[in-house]
Amino acid sequence: MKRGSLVHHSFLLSLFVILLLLSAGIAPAQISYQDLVHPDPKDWLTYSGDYSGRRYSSLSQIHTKNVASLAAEWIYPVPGANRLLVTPLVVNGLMYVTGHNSIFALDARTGREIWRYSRPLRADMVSGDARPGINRGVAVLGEKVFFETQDAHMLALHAKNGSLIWETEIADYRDGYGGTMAPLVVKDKVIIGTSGGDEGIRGLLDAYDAETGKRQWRFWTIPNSGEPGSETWKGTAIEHGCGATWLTGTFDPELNLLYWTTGNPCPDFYGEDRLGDNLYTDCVLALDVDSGKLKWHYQFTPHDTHDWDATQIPMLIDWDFQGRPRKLLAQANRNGFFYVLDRTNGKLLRAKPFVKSLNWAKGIGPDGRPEVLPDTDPTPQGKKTCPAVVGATNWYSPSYNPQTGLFYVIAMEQCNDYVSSARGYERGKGFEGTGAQRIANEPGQKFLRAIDIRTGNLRWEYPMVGEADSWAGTLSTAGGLVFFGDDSGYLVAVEAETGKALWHFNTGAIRLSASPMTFAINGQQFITLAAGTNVVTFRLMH
Amino acid sequence: MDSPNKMTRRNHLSRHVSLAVLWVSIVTCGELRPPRLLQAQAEQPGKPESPDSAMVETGSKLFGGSCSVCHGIDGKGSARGPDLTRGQVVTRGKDDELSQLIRKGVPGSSMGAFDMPDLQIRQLVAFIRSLSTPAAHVAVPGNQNSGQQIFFGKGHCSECHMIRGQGGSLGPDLSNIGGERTLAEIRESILKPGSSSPNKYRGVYVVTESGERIEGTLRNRDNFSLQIMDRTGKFRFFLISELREVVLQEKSMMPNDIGSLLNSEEVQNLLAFLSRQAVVGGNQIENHRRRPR
Repeated sequence: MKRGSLVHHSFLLSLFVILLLLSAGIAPAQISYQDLVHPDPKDWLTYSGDYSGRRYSSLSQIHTKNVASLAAEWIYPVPGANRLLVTPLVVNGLMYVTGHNSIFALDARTGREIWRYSRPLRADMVSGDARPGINRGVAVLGEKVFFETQDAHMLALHAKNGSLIWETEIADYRDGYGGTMAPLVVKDKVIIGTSGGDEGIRGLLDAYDAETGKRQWRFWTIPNSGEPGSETWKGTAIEHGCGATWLTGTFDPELNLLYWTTGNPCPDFYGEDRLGDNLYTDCVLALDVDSGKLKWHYQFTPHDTHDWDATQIPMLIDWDFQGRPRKLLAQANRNGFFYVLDRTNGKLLRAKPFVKSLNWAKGIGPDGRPEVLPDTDPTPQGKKTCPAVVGATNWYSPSYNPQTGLFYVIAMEQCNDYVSSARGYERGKGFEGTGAQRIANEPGQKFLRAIDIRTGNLRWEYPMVGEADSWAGTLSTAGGLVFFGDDSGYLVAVEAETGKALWHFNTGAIRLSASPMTFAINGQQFITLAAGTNVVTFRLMH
Repeated sequence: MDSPNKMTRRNHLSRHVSLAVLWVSIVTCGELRPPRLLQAQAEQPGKPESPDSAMVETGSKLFGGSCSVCHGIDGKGSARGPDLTRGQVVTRGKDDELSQLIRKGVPGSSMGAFDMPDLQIRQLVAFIRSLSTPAAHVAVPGNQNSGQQIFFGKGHCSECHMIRGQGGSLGPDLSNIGGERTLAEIRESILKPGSSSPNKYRGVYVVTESGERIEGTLRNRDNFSLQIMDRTGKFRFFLISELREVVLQEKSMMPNDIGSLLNSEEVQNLLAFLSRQAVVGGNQIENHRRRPR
């Protein structure tokens, strides 16, 4: 009896201590705007890791000398998922993963589930990338978690249990709007765009009050007739011009500017009903984050007829350019060029191809416009043009390492036959004007490429074996490593300086479609990749 | 990209490969017993309605308007939508199932509902069917018995290909070729063999760290490993790090001179024979490459 009660007491005591520790350890930390500006490297607080979009971590416990002993620590099969695109966030040991219109909060060290929130998929969503419910992740501020639903609603959930705090409809899904992206929190605002860029939507970017869900501003990416920019649309297509804002942007706190990219014009492949440049499609927009007013824009592909959305990460890099320190914006664009802009004013500093399969333009002129080659528009019979419709790269993340000055991007060498036909708008349906298809016996190939920010030239490349059909991105770390998903389902670590493969793991995923991230708990560094339908997390095994 | 050195190696390889084929034929000819009952095994499986050509033609136009943006002009798929010349519902399901799929969409996928008049749906179904109607379901002129003789004899097909356990295993098994490929696809792969999957059935040789040289056909590969069937028919699996050299042939090992080896009547007989190779019931394993979406 006595012994029993002693045990009982010490059990209660330790339970108390454990609860105390747990409440200190797992309770979601209050994330402030200052935390987002200066993130603790143990956390991963925004889609790209920080506002710059560099997807670079200063964690260096895992490095070139010990990465060979990296091993899987846990696997979380995401319920209901058939293809994960998410970059998980980690806030003080709690990981947020999004699956198909659902969110899962996990113990980041073990993969054990803490809570989940899920919404039924709208089956009457007619078409579009959002229809299957794919999602790229959440954003956090205070004790709230922000999530965009399949049907373009903005939700705020409580970080402790997934309780719905507020919900706002961004736009009507029946008009083709949908949600696939991770929001970005800046100051007291949740910045969010939508998908629907092949469904004839009018593109928009919104800012919502994080506390109440009330809209603070909206920027339309397609002007109303009579507004500036509308002169770049001749024909009827401006009514349903697309320019979707479907990938998370970046932010410069010093300039107070938000950088957001826009997608293709509609109909994607048929340009006769929209002669002109079609602003603000295929652009990077620099917006004042407080007012949503446009400060400047740069258009990568004026009058695009190849579905080359500019929705790749607009990365913010501070580096000397031609002898003086500059605030740069770098982007490897789906159209095959690697661009460097001055992000204070949007002036083009340099543009060079980063793929060989590029036959639509001779180059980018000093005025910033592409020198388009004749006979590269889609035709009813089909016109072979490069890059392919999936792009020289796409939304999956590039990364940058300030120690090497190298920009790491997954590139695709591929061409397509592009076919066009006139197409009238029908509400909520695809508004493509036909499409592109693979060319027989030209499967294409994927590469990891390292571009020197100083010159825009290729430093090294890592050719991948596979079906040229994967969508995985990259992560760079202060351990001198680049992690990326390859074209055969492997997570691979290469040396950042040389591209030499140092470690690999076969995730079993047939088509990787997400970018890796890293975090630390109690001084231990982890690497995570959403691979196929599983979240897989790795650490060093000594 | 290729160094001249490598090109020479590749030429060497093709010579070795043709020798290899000859060699395999010598080794295996003792086992070549042309099977007798093949025709009987190829009775017609549950036959989808045969597509009416006018329906197919109108369907093809409708397809160009609504479907091709995702599924490609030829129905073979694109980055946005799957290959419609493959897959259970399209190739084996009933017409009604396919119609419903078009009308209601596929939950949890990018395939939305296309609410069209009944006639148009039937025309679309007829066209989609025509893309994938397996050779076993269409009339093919020619003498199957002669085709069988050619397969196991003059055509040298069985040196690399197997039908129901008879023949070689360097190339793909053809026991269900009539059940899973269209007549046009079979004809094209005989007369104009292209490069198949970049990771399968290409000729390859490797040199191991110890200097051993192994030739064969590729069964799979990635950046770190290589799976080969060597010319004796043995599986040989390697880590790239264990190899001194890996050289891949550009194309599959399928010879491209069959059109000159066989006359047109012989080709037709071979087609008649191959088109009747269909596994009925039991385990129908889809051994073609499907791109998951």
